Amino acid sequence: MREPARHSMDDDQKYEAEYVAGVDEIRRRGTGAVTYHPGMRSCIDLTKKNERDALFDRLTCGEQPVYLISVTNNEEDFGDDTRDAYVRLRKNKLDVMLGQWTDICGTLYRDVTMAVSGIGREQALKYKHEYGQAYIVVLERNDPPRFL
Amino acid sequence: MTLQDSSSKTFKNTFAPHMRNKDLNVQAVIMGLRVSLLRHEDLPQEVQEAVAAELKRQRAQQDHA
Repeated sequence: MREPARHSMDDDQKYEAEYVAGVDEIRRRGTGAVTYHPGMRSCIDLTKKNERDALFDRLTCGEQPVYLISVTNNEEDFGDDTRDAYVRLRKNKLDVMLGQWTDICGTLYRDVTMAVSGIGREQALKYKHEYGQAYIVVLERNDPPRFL
Repeated sequence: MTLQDSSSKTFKNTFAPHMRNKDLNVQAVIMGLRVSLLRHEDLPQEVQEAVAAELKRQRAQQDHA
């Protein structure tokens, strides 16, 4: 069981700044679906094996699977809930990525997603339930991604 | 296809060779779009239409709530 991390206001500010930087980078990319990882300081294309491999090279949790969980449902903009969830997960020393999809079917969505690594299958399924998602995606180093 | 059955339709995965699943339903496709593992422009017309119908259904449901 993971020990709750000790944190301070500095942590809040640091992770909020990280979240804002991620959102800015995603918005800079414009439309389409993109994912941002703070350790890489750039957006990554998860459809490409080499970019997924590069991501695993940067993850603090090493080779553990990454669970991609959508934390919002058809929200039209980045919201406080997502920021708070991001900060909460980062304070627990988890690797978190941000994602966005836009311009789907003529509708502008800014539906923020998260990819969390180092949480284990049970916790991932709990998040899936918590955020009311039908599916989550599992990324593993040497296997193609799959829906869970 | 009606709006009601848009969420249950399943498609053979011929459009996402990098994904391990052999079949994908609309909810899975939407999740793939959300996490940037699928691109809308890569989806067959039939799947795009099913996604559009499902999003419309979800939006109507939200507006009704």
